[in-house]
Amino acid sequence: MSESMRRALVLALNDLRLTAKDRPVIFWMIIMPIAFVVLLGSMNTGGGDAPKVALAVVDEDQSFLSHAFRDALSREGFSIRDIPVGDIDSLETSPRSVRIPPGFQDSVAAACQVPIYFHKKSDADASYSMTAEMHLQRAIIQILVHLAETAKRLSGSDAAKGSISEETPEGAFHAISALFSSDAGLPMPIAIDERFGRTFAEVAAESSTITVETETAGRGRAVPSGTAQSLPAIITLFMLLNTAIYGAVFLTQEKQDRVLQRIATFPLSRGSILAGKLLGRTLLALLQAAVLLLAGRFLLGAYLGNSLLGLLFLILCLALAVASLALFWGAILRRVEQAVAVVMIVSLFLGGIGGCWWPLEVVPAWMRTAGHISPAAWAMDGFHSLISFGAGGSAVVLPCLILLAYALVFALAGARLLRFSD
Amino acid sequence: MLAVRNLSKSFGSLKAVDNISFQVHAGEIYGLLGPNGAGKTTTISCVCGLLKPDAGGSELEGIDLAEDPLAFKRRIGVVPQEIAIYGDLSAQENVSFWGQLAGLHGRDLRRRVEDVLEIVGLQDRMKDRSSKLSGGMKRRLNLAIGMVHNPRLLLLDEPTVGIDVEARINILKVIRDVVKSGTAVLYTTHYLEEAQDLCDRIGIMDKSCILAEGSLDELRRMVGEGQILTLRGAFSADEFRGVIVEDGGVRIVTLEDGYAMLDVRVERGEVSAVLGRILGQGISVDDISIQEPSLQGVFLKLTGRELSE
Repeated sequence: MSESMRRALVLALNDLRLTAKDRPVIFWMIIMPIAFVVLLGSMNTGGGDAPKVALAVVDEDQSFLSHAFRDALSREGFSIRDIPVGDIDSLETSPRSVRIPPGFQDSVAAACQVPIYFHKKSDADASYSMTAEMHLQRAIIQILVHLAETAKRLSGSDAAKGSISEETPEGAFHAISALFSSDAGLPMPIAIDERFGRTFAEVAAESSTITVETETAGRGRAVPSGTAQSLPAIITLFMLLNTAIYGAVFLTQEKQDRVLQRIATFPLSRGSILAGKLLGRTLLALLQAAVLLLAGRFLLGAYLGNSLLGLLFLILCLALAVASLALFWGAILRRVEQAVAVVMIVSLFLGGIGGCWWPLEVVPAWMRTAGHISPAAWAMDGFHSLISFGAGGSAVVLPCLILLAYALVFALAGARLLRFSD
Repeated sequence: MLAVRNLSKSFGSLKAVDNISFQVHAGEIYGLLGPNGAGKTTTISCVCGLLKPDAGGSELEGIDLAEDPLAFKRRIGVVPQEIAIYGDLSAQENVSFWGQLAGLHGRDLRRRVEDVLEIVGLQDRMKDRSSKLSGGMKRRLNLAIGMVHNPRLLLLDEPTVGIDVEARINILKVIRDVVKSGTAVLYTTHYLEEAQDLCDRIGIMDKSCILAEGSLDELRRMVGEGQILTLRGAFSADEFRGVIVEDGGVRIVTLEDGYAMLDVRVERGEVSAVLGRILGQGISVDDISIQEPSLQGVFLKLTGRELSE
């Protein structure tokens, strides 16, 4: 190692030692970011279970079929409030309600049309009411399908079987229609007795013939959630915050205390001093990333993507970018108080517009574009490509190049503006 | 050893150092004495490479600062006026860090850190956080850092500012010991006694220039053996000028309304006669002081004013 490199390393390691001597560092670099990963990870899990839609139900029929219909509504995820028939006036206070009229079962058994009354208040949430209508339709279809299947099993007929296994919704509706038509060969009207009830229960308990699985295809990007969003976000944000703040504060403190000026009287070139300062901040940023990566992987079980090399290179480029930013801030700011206030506000802003507080995938397109003025946005792009979208190492090439460009620009600006003496 | 030649430095329209030259020899303490703002710190800053002079330069043991700054800096130790240390590090960690920056490592570094802390009397407090040390101890630590790598030239910029007498005596003793090993010292101060007691040669600096230089005796001879007679009272400058006759024995150094400073080169007993002549002319005097030839007297004669502490 050359003499100038060794002295640059002495400067860098001294900066790390000074950071370690700062008592709140454990809180700022370890406890707080890990807590944020957990907190934001929990908040960003995609909302958990869908909210339940409230529905008041008045069963004026009190029959086997009306109870089955009420159960079907419950399975659809409604939060059901049963209203006694004698208390029908209390429906006025419910945003949405369903009334099953008397004679419901008999009408169905006789293949006669029977209405079910769905009432929604004018001031009820429209999207919830729309959801309720959809689930109501699904419950009706469910009951009809179960009725048809039960009737078919009891009669020994399989005439409609082929139709029911149609895979399209339209096919299913046609099949139900067919079941109740005279051509289907079902006994009409059907007798709903105890045997019918047992068979109906068996049919209802069977798993669906058709299920739907959803996944994202094409070029559309899903919104990263859970630790896939929170871990990269907090790594980026805290690398930015801690490196820039500690870096800028130490440099302004050194200027204020004339320590930097004293360093310049030692046998080091200006380049060695700048390299040492830059290296110290880069090591600090890498240390922050390592703490969070290890905590994310082993404490929180976060998935880190398929390309560890790509991930590490991305982190190195981000570390260089934030270290250069720290050098720049330290060069242009004069006092420690300035450094703390200015750098914290700017870092939080850069983190925010760069997708560290919320995924850029949820903001308007113009904001997503504008956010890429922040190095955090490029880092988050790289992290998401690797962690959320399963891309290989080549996906981080562009973000890394941009981050290196940031590093170069801010390092040059910082080097030019830094004054060792007044 | 150190040769400073025709050094000049300006900040905008302000001329901080104006064409000064001096030399410091091995084992010698050369003092730059002058009031605040005279240009002492700017001179030190130029000599240690912190500031680039507008003209002139410095050479140490044949190495030109402008041509080979790293080789030059390897041979110097700088003790700035401000206490430039890391408050969060212990005294030992501080000296060790600066020693590494100077190029020391391993056993040499450890031995030198211990030695230099012992020299400045901080061996018992070496593990203490520097910010917890007293003002005098911090000054000694500041000095230790400048000496850790055994420099050939030690540049000390007002190293005793703001400390008590005991700590000052302590620091001056350390400096005297350092030069015994052949180290050259360039020492700036505005304390007359310090310069008088410590320095082998003194350059008197005022308003960016070195007005005179030499040993204390040389300086005294340079300005003569006369005494300084200072008078304060309710008189005008014109009135005073009317009664005083400047000749070989009496010379006006400074004259303002209510204040007069005279260089009186007469036999010791005749000073009262000069005073009598002045008072006999009706000059109203409230306060009279007579100073024997000293550095203060030399400074007064050269600059026309006192060097206040």
